[in-house]
Amino acid sequence: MGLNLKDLISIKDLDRDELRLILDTAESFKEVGARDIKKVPTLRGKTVVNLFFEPSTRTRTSFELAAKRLSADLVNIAISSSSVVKGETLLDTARNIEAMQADLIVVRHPCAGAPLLLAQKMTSAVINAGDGAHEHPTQALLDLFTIRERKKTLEGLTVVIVGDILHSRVARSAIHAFKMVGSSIRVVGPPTMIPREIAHWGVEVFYQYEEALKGADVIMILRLQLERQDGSLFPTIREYANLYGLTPRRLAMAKDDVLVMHPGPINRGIEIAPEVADGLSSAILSQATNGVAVRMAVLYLLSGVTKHEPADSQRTAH
Amino acid sequence: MNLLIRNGRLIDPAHRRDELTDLLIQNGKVARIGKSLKADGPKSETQIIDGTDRWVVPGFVDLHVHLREPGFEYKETIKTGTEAAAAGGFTSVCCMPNTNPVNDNQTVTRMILEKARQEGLVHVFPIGAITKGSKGEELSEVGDLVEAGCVAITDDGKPVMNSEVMRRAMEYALAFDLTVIDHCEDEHLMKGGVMNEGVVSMELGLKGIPAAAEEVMVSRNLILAELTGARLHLAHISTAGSVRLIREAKGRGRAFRPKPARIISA
Repeated sequence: MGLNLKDLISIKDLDRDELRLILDTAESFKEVGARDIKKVPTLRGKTVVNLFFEPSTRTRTSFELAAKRLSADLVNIAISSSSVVKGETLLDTARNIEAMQADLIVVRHPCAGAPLLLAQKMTSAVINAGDGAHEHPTQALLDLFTIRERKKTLEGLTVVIVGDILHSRVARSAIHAFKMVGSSIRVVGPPTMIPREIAHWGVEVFYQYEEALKGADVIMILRLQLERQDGSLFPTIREYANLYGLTPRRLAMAKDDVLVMHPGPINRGIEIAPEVADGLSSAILSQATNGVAVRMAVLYLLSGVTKHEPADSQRTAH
Repeated sequence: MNLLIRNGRLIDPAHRRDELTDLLIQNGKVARIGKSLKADGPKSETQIIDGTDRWVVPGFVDLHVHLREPGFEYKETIKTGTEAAAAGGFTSVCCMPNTNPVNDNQTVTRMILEKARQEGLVHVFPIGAITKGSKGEELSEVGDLVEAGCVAITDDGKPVMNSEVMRRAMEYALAFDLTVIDHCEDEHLMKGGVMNEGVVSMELGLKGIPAAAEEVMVSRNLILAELTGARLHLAHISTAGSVRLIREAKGRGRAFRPKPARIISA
């Protein structure tokens, strides 16, 4: 069984069974990473291109290791060394890469919608590795994988997402994913960081961290994007850390077996206290480990399908 | 030369007409309207157009066009812009001052009118800038602009954010009975936005522009118009809240002339 999809742009592209298939496939790939020789021949002869228009360590490395462990050929293209600095358009860059017979293209772009545009215009499979504040689907998948691994279930869990929901692609993908698997979702943060229309997503909104934490099974912390700090979203880092930093005292308000997650990179002492980040509840490093397995699953499942012709009509914007 | 348009759907709201009929134009003027018209004089001097399934309407006026000349001829020129206007049934256009240089002095105004005379296909009425360079700081020489042929003033595309400057512009315009046009958008509230703020912008992760960005400026302009008694035209209104504000202000006895949002720009 494969995925009946050409691309992975949004969590909303998936149904419940497809989501489960990705997680189950990732489970079998996770074992590869634990071997002495971390390689299987599954994607031998396939070409994967990492096309990153934004800085990234974790996600880019994770996709790179995933492709390499599957024996695919991998090329990394970073914005600073590409023709984009010479004024080439996104579509022209991508079409040239496709002309060199890339099978899978992993795209990160600061503009929401850029991977969807490429998916519509190209025959190669396109995987969204984060587009603006829109989505980061493989992050949500690796989060689900990590939670399922620890908690043995996803249904009925109470998940608290903390921080800048408004500007977070991680939050968007996570909210759609958690809804699909039947977790109940709380969001907490200053009102300036919560979208006005959030009721549409059917999540519970809190402004007080302590209240949101009561009975929490999972705390998912969003990185405070310091580069966004322009004085109107929140007054100072100091105040943000006071109100929305996860300290040991606050951690104690959640369930005893609560799982603390963060997509990284973490700002130690701001949104998460060092002793919490490094503590027993923290799943942050497991997330990084599992990210490789989940991306192996996504690369494998998208490489196996029959190539579709680009068909704008078959896909609508999310 | 005469022109006879046969059997078109003649629509003229000002004269409450909407009917299938003929229309005869003689010596450049509408001579007769009625069924089965015949032109005076020899047949060879009358051009006949079959108007079946077509509308016959008075020339339209577009209060808000961008002819882009001088300065942005690679986008549009007075020639191409007026050609487009004529093709769409517009016989008069008012062109915005966001050219390069900005139409904030009579040299630019005269240049536009001269070009329009030479190459234009329709009537061109320039609109001058409220402030020098449309920077929102100092008033343009409005008297000079009017003398050269400007029919209104605006810093189109650049809302006059400084309320004191807007107040003085409205007062100064009274001397010439000139309409002041403002593009109603608070620059701070709209900053970085690419679409209406709502469920869709949230889903897409795109930066939204709240309706308040428009309505804050609409309110300010209405209040200043009441203070000064100026003639005010609010360009491309697009929210229900703006309409409500204008309706309330009109209810207080002022004659405002809002313009509906422009869907297609010239």
